Amino acid sequence: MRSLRRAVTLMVLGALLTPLAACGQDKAPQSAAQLYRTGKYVEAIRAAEEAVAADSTHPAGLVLVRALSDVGRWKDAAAVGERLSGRPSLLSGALAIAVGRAHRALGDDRTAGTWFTRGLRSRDSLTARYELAQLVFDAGRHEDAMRAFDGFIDVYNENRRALSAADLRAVALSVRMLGRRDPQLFKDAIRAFDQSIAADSMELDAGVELGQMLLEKFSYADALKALTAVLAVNPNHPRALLVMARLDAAEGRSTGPARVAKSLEVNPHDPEAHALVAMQAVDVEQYAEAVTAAKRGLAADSGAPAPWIAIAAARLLSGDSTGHVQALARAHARLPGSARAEVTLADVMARNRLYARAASFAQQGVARDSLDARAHSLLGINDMRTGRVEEGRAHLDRSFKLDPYDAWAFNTLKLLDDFKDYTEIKTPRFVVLVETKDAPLMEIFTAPLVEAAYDSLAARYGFRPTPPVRVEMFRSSADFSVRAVGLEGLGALGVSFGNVVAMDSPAARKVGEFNWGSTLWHELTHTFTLGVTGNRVPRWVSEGLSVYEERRARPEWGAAITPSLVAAWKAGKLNPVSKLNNGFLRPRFPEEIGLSYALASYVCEMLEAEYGIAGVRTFLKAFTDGKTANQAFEQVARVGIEAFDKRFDDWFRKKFVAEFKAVDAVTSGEGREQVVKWEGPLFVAMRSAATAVAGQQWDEAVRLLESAKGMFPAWADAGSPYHLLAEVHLKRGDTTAAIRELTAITQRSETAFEENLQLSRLLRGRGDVAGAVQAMERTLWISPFDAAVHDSLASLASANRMHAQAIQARRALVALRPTDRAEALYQLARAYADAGDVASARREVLRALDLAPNFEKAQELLLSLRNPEVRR
Amino acid sequence: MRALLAAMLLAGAVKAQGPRTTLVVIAGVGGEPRYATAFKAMTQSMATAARTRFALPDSQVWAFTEDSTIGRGRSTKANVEAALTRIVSTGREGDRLVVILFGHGNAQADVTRFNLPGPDMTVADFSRVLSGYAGTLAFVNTGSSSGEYVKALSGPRRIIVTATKSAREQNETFFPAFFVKALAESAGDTDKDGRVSLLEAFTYARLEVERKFELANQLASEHPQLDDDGDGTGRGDASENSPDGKLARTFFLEPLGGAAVASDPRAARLIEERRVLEARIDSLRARRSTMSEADYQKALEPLVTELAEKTRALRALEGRKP
Repeated sequence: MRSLRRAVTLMVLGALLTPLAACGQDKAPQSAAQLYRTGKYVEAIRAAEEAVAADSTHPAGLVLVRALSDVGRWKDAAAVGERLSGRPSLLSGALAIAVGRAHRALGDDRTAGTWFTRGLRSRDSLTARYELAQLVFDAGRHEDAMRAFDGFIDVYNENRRALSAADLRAVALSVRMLGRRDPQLFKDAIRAFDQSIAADSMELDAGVELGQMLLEKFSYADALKALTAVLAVNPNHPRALLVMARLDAAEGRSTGPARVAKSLEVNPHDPEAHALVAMQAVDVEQYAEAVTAAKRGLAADSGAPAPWIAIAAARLLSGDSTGHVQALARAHARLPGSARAEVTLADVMARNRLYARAASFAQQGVARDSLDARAHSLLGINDMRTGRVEEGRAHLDRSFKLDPYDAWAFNTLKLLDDFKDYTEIKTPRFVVLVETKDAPLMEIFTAPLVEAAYDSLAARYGFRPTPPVRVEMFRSSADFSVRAVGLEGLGALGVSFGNVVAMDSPAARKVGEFNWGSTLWHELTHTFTLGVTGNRVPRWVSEGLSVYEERRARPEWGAAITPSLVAAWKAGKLNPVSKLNNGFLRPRFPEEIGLSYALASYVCEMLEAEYGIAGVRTFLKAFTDGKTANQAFEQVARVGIEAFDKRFDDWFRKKFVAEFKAVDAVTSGEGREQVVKWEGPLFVAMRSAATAVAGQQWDEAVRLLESAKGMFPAWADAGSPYHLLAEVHLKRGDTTAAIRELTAITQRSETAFEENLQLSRLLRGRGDVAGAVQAMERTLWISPFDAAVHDSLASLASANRMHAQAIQARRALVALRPTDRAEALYQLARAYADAGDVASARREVLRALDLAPNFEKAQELLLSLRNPEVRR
Repeated sequence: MRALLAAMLLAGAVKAQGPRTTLVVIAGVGGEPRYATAFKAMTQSMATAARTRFALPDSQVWAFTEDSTIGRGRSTKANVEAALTRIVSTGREGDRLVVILFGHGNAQADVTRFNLPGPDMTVADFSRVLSGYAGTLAFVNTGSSSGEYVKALSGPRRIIVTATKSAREQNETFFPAFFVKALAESAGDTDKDGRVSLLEAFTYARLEVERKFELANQLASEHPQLDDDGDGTGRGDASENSPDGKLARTFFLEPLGGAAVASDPRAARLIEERRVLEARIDSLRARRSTMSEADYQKALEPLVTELAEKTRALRALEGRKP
C-alpha cells in the first residue's frame, strides 16, 4: 500500500513564497490581496485593476483573475488573465492555471487544458499537473488520471519539505482521488490539506476543499471546523458558504437556504449553488421553481452538470419523463464514466420516499462507475428499505470496502450484525422483527394489531400491500435512527419506506414518552398511502392521513387540537394547506413540525368530512396519476389549492369555534428563536384556577376549571383542566368526579400511563370491572413490559370470567420471562382451564410441571383436567 | 448390655443432632437513615426466617446490626471477627456456615472493604477469619464492590455469592432485597419443591436485578456472581448445568419436610416411588433436545400424572389436602 510518509515538519521554507504572499511587497497589491482574502470582492477587483493598469506585470493581476472568477465573471477573468499572462513574471504559471480554471467554469475544457499545460512550465507545475489529471478524470479516462494522480505520492515523499501551500493542496486533491482505490489514502489527503493550510493560512481554498471532503466522509464536526475557519477570514467566500449550506442540510439545520443565497449574492452564476437551490425546491415538491432555479445555473456554462441533474430530478418527480431523460443526457455529456448524476438522483428519490427508484438509480450509478462507494452505499440502503435486506447487505459490504468512512454503510452494517439478536414474528401478512428476548411478549400484541390495521386500512384505501409487510422494531432509538437515515440522532419514532416499516420498540423509550401502538398504526397508514400512490403522495398528505387514521383507530390515539396549535394558526405561524409541506421540510421554529402533523390531520379529516372516503381516494388517485396537489384539489374540491386554503381555514375555525375563542396568540423572538405562546380566556381561567388550587379554594378551583374545560374540551395534555380537576376531586375524596376527569384524560391522551392505572384502580374499587380492564389495556400500548399491570389485569379478568383478557394477560406474564416461570405457566393453564380450553390448559400445566415436577398446585390441576366435567 | 444400649442411644442422639448450620447476618453501616433502616430490616428478615422457616436454634443464629437493636450486638469489626473466629474454630466437617452481608462496600488502593461502624473489614480480614473452617461455607456479600470476594474466598466446599462482578461496581445494589425475598419468603422456590436452594435464591435475585435495570432502560451497574467450584471465578449464569451452581443447587436452609410421615411404611413407599418417577422425569429431560415439543409432552404427561397421584396419596396420608 502506497501512502504519504509523515512529514518531519509541517513548516514550509520561508524562501518559497506563495504567489499571494508575494503581494505583500507594496501597498496597492497588498490592499487588493487583503481585500480579496477578506471577501471584499468588489473592492479587491477595483484595487487590483488600478494596480494592473499602472503595471501590467503587477502581482495584483493574479488577485484580479481570481476575484473575477470567484464572483462568477469567468469571461472577464479569462480575458484579463490571458492578457496579463503574456508578460513573463513569477506569476505567469499561477495566472495560466487561473485562466484554465475560468475556462473550465465556462465549460471549455479543451481551452482549459491548453492553459493548464502552459502552467506545467512554471513553479506552479504541481497544481497544473493536478488540474490536467482532473480534466482527464472528468473526461472519463479514469485509468490515465489515476496514474497521473499516483505520481503525486512520489512528489510528496521525495520533496515534501520543499512543497508550497499550493503544491500541498495539489497533492491533497490528488491523493483524495486516489482514495477511490485505497481508502486509507483519505487520511493522507487530510494530512496534506492540513499541511497546505499550515503553510499558508490565508490560502483559503484548501480549507474549503478539506471541508467538502470531510463532509463527504461524514466528519461533520471537523468539516464545520474547517469551514468556520475559512469563513472567519472571509465571511463571503462563496464556495465555503455553499459547502456550509450542504453541511447544514446534512445536519438538518434550516440555515442552508440563507447561506446559499449569500453565496449567490457573491457569485450569482455558480451552477453548483443554483443546483442546490433547485434541489431545495425539489425537496418541497416545487418542481417548476426548481427548474427555474437550475436554469439560472446554466448562464455561464450551458452544459454544467449540476443544474442539469437538478432539472432531471425535478422533471422526473413532476412526471415529465421525456424532460428527465433529456436533462440527464445533458448531465451525462459532461460526466462520462461518472456515477455523480445517479448518486444525486438516488439521494433525491430516497428523500422523496421513492426507494425503489432510488435503488434503481444507484444501480445505474454502480454500472457507470463500479468504484463509486456512495453508489454502492445508496443501493444497499435503498435495497434494505424495499425489504431486500440480504442484497442490501452485500452492496453495503462493497461500499464499506471501497470507503470505510461512509458512516451510512458502516452504521447500517453494524446494525445488520445486531440483527442476530432479533427474531422474526410471522403473521399472515406481516413479518415483524423484534429483539429476541421481547419477541414472545411483542407477538401477543403486535400480531393482532398489524393484522387489524391491514384490514382496516385496506378497506379504507382500496389497496392491499403485497405481503409480507416488514415491520422492524428497534430496542434502541439510535438503531432505529440508523435504519431510517443511516446516522444516529433522528428524533422520530418511526418511518415507513412503503412495505418496510422501522420504528422504536416500546423498550426504546421511557414509559410515557410515546404510544407504540399508535406509532405502528401511523406508519402502517403510510404503507397504504405510499403504496396506493406509487409513493407519489406529498409528505403532508401522507402524514396527515396517518395521524387522522390514528385518531380513527382509537379515540385517545393521535395528535389532536391543542391551545398551541390554535395559537400558532391564529398567529399565521403555520403554513396554509398550499404550503404545508414546508412545515415538515423547512420548519421555521422548533414546534412547527409537530404542529404541522396535527394540522395536516385536520385537513385530511375535512376532506373526508366533506367528500367522504371516496373523495380521499380520488385525492390520492390524483397523485398516483402524477397530478400536482393543486390538480388533486381541483379534482376533489373543485377549487385550486390556493382557494382551498381559505376553505380549510373556514372549516377549521368553525369546527373549533370554542377553542379559537378561548385562545389568543402571543409571539416573541425571531426566526428559529421564535416562540408562539397561547394566552386569552383559557389562559386566564387556568391561571386563576391554579391560584385557587394552591389556596385550597376547592369550589372556586372546580368552577374555574370546569369553565376552562368547556372552553377547550379536547385539550387533555399534562396541565390540562382535566388533570387539575382530577387532582382536586381526589383531594376532596370525590371519587366519582375524579373518575370522570381521569376517563376524559385517558380518552384524549395516548400517553397517559399513570392516569390509566389510577383510573383502573378507582373503577375497580367501584366495581366497574370492564372499565378497569379497559384502562389497564390502554396502558399496554404505552408500555407492555410492566408485569404488575398484566398481573393485575389477569387477576381482575379471571375473577370476572373475562377469559380472553385473562388468558392474554397470563400469556404476557409468561412472555415477560418471570423468575417464577412455573407459577406463571400454572396460572396460564388455570386461565385456559377456566375458559374451557382443556388442551391448552394441559399443554401449559405440563410445561409448568416440566420445570417443577413437584409443584403440587399444578399437579392437582393436571389431575383435574383428566376429568373436566368434575373440575368444572 | 444396658450400658452398651445406653451408649448406642447416646451415639444415636448425637448422630440425630447431625451437622450444624450456623447463620451469621451482618448489617454494615448505613451512612444514611434509609440505608440503615433497609440493612436492619433485611437482617431482621433473615434472622426471623432462620427461626421460623429454617428451624435453626437461636444459638446458631448470629445477627449484628449498626445499632445493636437486634441480634447479638453492634456490627463492629471486633464483634464480627470474634463471632466468626469462634464459629470457625468449633466447626466440624459436615457443618455449614452461612454468612450474609448487607451494607456498603468500597475499594480503594486495591483494598476492598465492607463498611462497619468503626474500622471496616477488608476482604482479607474475612479471608483470614474464615480460613480453616472445616465445614461448608456459604458467603453472600450483597453490597457494592463485592465482586472481589469471589477470588479471595473461593475454595473447596465454598459457595461465594456477590452482588457485583468487581470492586468497580460501587453503586447501591438492588440485589439484597431480592435475595432476601427469594430466601426468606420462598419467592425463589422456582422448582416448587417447598425449599429454596442457594442457587435458586441467587438466580431469582439476579434475574430480578436484570429486570429492574431493563425496565428502567438503564445499563446495569451490578452483575451478581456465584462461584462454587473453587476456581475463584464467579458466573452470572450459574446453573446446575454450568461449572458453578452444582453445590449451590444442593444447599438448602430449610429442613427437608415429611419426616413425620416417612416413618409410615406406606408413606415411605410413596416417597420412594416419587423418587423413582423424578429420576425418570430427569432422564426424559436429558433426551428432550432429541424430541419434538409434542412428543416430549406426550412422554412427560404420564410421568407427571403418576407423580401427582403419588403426591395426592402422600398428602392423604398426612391428613391434609394439597
